[in-house]
Amino acid sequence: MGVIRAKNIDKFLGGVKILDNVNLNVKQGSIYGLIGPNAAGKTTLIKTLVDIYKPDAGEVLIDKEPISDNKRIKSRLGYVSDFQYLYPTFKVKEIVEFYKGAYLLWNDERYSQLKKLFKLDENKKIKYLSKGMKTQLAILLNLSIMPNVLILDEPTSGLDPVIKKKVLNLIVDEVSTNETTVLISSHNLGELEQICDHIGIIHEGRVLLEESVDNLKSSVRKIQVAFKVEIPEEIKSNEHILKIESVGKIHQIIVRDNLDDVIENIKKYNPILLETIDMSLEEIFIHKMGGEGYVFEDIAL
Amino acid sequence: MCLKILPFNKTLLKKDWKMTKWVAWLVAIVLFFAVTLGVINTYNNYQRTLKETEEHPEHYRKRVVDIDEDREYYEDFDIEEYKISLIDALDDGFKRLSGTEVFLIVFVPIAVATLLFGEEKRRKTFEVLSTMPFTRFEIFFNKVIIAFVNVFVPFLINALIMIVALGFSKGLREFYSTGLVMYWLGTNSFRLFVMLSFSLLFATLTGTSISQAVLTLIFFIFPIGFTLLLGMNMSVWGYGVYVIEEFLDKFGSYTLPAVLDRMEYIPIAYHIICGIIMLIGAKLLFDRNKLERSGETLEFESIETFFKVGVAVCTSLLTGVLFTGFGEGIMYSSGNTYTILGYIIGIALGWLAASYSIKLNRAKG
Repeated sequence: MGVIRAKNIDKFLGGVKILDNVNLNVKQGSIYGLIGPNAAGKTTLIKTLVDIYKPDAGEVLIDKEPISDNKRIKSRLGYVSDFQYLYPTFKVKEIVEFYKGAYLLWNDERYSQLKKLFKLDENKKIKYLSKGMKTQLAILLNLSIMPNVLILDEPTSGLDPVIKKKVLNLIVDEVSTNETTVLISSHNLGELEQICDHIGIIHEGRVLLEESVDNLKSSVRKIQVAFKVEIPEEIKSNEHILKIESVGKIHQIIVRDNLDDVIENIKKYNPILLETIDMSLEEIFIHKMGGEGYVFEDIAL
Repeated sequence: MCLKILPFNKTLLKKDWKMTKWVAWLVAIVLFFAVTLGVINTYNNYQRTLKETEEHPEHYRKRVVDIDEDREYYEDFDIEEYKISLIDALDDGFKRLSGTEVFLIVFVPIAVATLLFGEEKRRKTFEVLSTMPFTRFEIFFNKVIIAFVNVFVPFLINALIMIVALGFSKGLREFYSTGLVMYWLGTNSFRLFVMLSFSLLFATLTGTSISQAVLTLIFFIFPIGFTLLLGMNMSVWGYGVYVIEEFLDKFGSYTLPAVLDRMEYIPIAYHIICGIIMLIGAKLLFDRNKLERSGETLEFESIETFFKVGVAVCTSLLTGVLFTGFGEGIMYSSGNTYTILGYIIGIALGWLAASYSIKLNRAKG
């Protein structure tokens, strides 16, 4: 249960193709980070996954069933959007009542626990809540419905660092306790790196790759090396080297796929320093995109 | 059994009622002061007048001038005649719409439909609803129920007050009956049903509250307004307007504003069938509404050209007449140069205004 699948999704908005044959597969119980530059189609894809937008081609399946107009699936689907479109004239407690009535598996105990964590004033009208408070409310509501699938579109934007940390912990707890499947989009790759086990990269409406974070991290590594003399030409010309950055005699070499071969090759030239450094998701993203032939400067993270 | 099949949803009903209940209470209050209070006070007013005529008969004497015999004299106040006039006035009041009632019957359904559909589109709360465990039909059905409750309840409350007042006051029964109140409730419910069905149809054709309210109102008066505009233009070109008058005489009662007329002039079955067709149309269109077009002037791209052409033609007919008058004013002649100029300017203005309205609200991807 809790699998998200997008099959050959096309979506046009205002005559422009925003999603182009998108395929996406999120396994049960995993936290899938959807990343991509601005206007890549992340929000459109998410809105298509949660049945706000109907795809022009292809279909979205959750738990192997089409999402479109599917009450059963939607009763276990949590969605936190990038902007919270909650009824502005409702008080917090009224919107809670609305969710409670709509979702059969609403959990009062869970709601009470989360309410203490977020410290929301139940008598306040939604229109008087700040952006961050609205996001907290949306997270609180969508975790209280006991979701099988949780789809979050930039859920931490507008949250202060303390609350941000709480939210990320809650998501991890949710997955470990209830085996919830989570798809989360964010521009903050540092955050995603902390919690995601899978990553999907979307650019210009197409999913470029889907991979586990472990595979992704092992596929691109950084080697820090120093030689007494200049870096040998043979090393520079190695086909697995993506990039070399040099500061004085210290060189940082980004290697794709075949790390062991590159290290063996370097060792032949007796380096005075040789160490392997883990790369951040952000660095991998940039280099991976570079490897796919995309221009770094165009990709605003 | 039927009720069990229909997708009533308490949560949606409560939510929609909460969004719109203020309209129902406001209308109920307005209706109470505009209609009900006067009706239930009839007997009190009659009694007061009766008492005053006994205490001060001289104040109520009627001066009669007999021209034939060239004399004038005073007649005593005829209380029976006064009573009959009150009964007739009430009877007429129940059967003919007052200005306030016309206003409420036209504008309240538009307002309620706008709050239930246009506002949800404008505020994008429809997006939240579409991710929740409700089917599209459930969302539509429960909104329609609340819309009808909203427009009918104020009339029902006021009808009940008038009927209950009959129970409490024996004297009041001499002036009106439960049957008359039920007639008032029934005929106004019919009018509200037609008007609300029409408003709901436009709720599913438009993407914002403003475009919904404005277009509903324009198309409400459109058949008669357009025919009159056509008539005015025909007379500008020297053609007789009797064709238009004949047309309005024959077909006027089949247009929407005709439901505001006295019941005996309205083809009721025709309007009820139209109301049902409009409701079914609204349901079918709502199923095809795309949420990405929420916030746009029109829900369907395919009707944008029709909308632009329609606005351009109507504006040109109007400016044609206005420019003719303007031309006659400054040139004292009835030449058609200004009329043609009016048409050209009107077409350009109308097309630009419609295009601008669409462009202004164009949703971003």
